[in-house]
Amino acid sequence: MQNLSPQESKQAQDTPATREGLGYRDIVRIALFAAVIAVLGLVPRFDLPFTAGVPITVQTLGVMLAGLILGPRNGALAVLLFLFVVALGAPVLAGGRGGLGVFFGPTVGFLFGWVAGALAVGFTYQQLMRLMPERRFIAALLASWLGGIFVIYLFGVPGIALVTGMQISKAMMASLVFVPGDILKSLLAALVMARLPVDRHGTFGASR
Amino acid sequence: MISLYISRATWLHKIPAGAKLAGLAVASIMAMQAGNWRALALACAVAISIYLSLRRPGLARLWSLRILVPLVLGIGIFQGLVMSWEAALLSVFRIFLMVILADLVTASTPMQDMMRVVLPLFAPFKLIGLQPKILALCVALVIRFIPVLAAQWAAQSDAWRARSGKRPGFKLIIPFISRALARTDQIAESIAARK
Repeated sequence: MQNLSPQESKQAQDTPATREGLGYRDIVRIALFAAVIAVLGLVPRFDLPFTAGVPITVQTLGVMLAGLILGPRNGALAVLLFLFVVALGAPVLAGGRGGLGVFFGPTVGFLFGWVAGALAVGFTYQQLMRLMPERRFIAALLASWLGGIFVIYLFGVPGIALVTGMQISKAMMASLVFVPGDILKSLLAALVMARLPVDRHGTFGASR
Repeated sequence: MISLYISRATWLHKIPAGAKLAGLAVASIMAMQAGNWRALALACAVAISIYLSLRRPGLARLWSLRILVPLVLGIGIFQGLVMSWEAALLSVFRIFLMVILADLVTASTPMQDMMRVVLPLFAPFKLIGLQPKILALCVALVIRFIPVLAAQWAAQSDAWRARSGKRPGFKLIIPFISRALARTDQIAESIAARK
């Protein structure tokens, strides 16, 4: 499609495919980010000394970036689509897990928390960027803390409690080991946002 | 793409996907209600014997679920220490049962069949303008993108190694995301042009 003028190409991409106004560009970006989350699950895990061997995966980094780059609606849709593909049986959760089984396991709350998390990250980032347009790193970092950590645990911890019958406070204690890794991932997400090239339309990484 | 589906036909494959999913839903409600760990342990034994009845692929599948063991044991020990061993056994068997039952459905149902059962459930979303067709397109795109992006990651980390002689750090995520986003715009144009 190299021979479309920029104007024609913009029109073609923004043709709405659904009545609620998702254009093809939105649909492809949502699908792409669902795949990015999957691929980040395949990236070799790195073990951090201070988490005592608990594996840290970069999959939640994909969730944070989905909200930051695609915005709240599309970011949450990308995570939802990812979970749908997991439910259909693709082994794309970190460690090659997938299928319906994960929705009955103790981490189910975190999976649904990702959807709310991407929504919260995207919303917070947009609001903060309105307040301080020049501070992308700080805005992305704060948005990732709120949406990518706090909101995800808000769903994940009660999920553990519900599946295992533990008390909320005990479940919270058990999941605290993952917080250092999450803080590291939020720093990475903010670094990506600060470094990602922005083109003149204000969208990220456009092709031309 | 690799999938969790067992490609060799077994007796479980002949049961319609809808029936298996309905059975799973009923089993999950019963497991949540169960208050006796012995009943759940018995149900686990039944589930394991279903795996065994699938012969070799079933055994291989059951073996691949061993990654669950440390997590479930960890939860059990933690719970036994802070609550009671009775409660620990209850939740360990409950989690184990539900995960292996759900995995049986995944193992014996092709992705297309699963889609066929699930898509009609999305019909109500037509009212707000989301066509089930669009969902099917999205799923197809994701499944196609995963190997493409994995190859892109590998190529970019090779290039990084060739330039620096070092293993790529997580900085590689920046060019990875940027290149992937550039690609989406071309794909969106192609889809729009074919419509």
